[in-house]
Amino acid sequence: MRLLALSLILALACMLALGMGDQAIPLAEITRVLTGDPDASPVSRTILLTLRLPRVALAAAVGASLAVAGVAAQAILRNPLAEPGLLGINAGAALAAMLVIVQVAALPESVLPAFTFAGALVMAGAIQALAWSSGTSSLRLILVGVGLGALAGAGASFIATFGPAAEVQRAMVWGAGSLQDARWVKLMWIVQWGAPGALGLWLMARELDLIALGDGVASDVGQRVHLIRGLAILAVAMLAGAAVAASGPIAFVGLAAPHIARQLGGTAHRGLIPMAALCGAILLVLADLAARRVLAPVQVPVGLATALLGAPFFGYLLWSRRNDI
Amino acid sequence: MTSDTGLSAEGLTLGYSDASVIEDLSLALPAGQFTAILGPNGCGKSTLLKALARQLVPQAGRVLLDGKAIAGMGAKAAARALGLLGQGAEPPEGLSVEALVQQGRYPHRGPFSPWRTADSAAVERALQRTGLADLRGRAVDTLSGGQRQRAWIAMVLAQEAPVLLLDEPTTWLDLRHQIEVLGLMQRLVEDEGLTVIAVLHDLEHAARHADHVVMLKAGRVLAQGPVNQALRPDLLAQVFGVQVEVRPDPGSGRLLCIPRGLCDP
Repeated sequence: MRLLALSLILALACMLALGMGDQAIPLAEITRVLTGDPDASPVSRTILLTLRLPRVALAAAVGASLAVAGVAAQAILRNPLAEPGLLGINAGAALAAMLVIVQVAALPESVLPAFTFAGALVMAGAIQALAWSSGTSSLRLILVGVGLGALAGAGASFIATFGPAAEVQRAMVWGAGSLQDARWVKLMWIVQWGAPGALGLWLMARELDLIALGDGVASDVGQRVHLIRGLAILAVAMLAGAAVAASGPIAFVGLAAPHIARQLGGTAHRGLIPMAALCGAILLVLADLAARRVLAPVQVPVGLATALLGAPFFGYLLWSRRNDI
Repeated sequence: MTSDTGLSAEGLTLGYSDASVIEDLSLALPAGQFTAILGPNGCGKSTLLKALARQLVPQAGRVLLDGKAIAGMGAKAAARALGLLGQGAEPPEGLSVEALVQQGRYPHRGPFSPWRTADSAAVERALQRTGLADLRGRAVDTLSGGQRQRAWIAMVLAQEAPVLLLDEPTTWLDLRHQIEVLGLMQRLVEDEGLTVIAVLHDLEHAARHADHVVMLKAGRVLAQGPVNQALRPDLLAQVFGVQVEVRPDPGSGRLLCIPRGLCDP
């Protein structure tokens, strides 16, 4: 029931995002284009099919990926303020992107996602390996994640300092997180890499419910805690890696969507994962719409918009838990 | 020191990284009885309990259940045989009592097997026995300390393991609930033939409810045996450094332990 309601909200948000722009398109026209009606004007068709539709679809897919990755990160790290970035995924991807864009300008841009994706996976693997001491613990993972993330950030800054200005500029734009360059091929990355990760996490829903009780309890009732956490980290890296490759790092969605979904749907991951995916999709579609329209015709990178929204939300979370922390 | 039934330890050396807490400990815990593990703080009680439940890999030696090494059992198989209630876990926010107790069914379920009637029945029984049936929908983090402790106990009961290992199960409980929980353990042993092994702090609890006692000090077993024989003033003085008067309780036929003062250093 709640899933249905959220799906409707998502559909509405998408319609809104498809309709609004420098050239407003009425709902009837959108329907005509989407249903392939020959009466639709060619201009609307071009705007919708080559610009807005891929962008809205990508926003929804990236938002959903980040949200599911966030749910899993919060469960395995047993930390309500966790998000995929804590596992070093953003930092690894950003460093790889900086390397590719600035240092290897000769490479075609199409290899960028492969590199950022590899950067995310390598970083997640390195954090897991360094945090290993007869098993992983959430605290060690967070500490090592924060440390390596800072190191990767410093590496990226180092490259930026000495790189050619034009390339550095491009890398910075990518690093702010943007959906401006939405293309269908980017959606394919998410389908290929993100969807299996999300499906894997959903199939592991019961294991996530249990591991959220803590390593001790989970292991007492017979869970192979380190195996489950390793698999979940891999799935999170696939999801977040694909999302980062498609749009650059986008803050806040991976943190906020799981919280909203928990308010709506409780703690069991079987329901929480689809719920969070829908919330994440709605959030990012709306955030991208705002990023496009608020300062129009200037387009704000959506990562900047979510970060602006995210900082107060983070503060609110801390404030609402001021008695626990 | 092996026996064919029950839990036993052979030459167990336990510890964390380099330091060992327990060295070369051998022990036999009788099946179908309520064993209390007693000892001062830091003597290795909890460490021993973890190793007995296969949650701590021994540095040397092994633990046998009914004559078979538990190290060779799978994680789920071990959890079906041995239920451990550790100390001080915190559930995630908003998790309901019933959802927590349901997690006790984990070792009985395959990765994709559906929830069965046997699972519901076990959860229902565990909720009834711990008096939590009316609180099943409440979030665990909103309960009092005593209710929360009973929720964890219910989760272990839902596991339906024939051997229960409990680390200070009466912590946080008021007098009435202490007696309820220990009485429940006693009934599980007497009526259903379970084996209960509990680390207890209170001599009185051990004297009143346990069948068998193991006394540890500084990682060594100082005494073990039936409760009415092992609780001797000289042994209690050695273990706790406290003068304890032990006398029969005419009402229950059990012993009464009354601390009278500290032993001279």
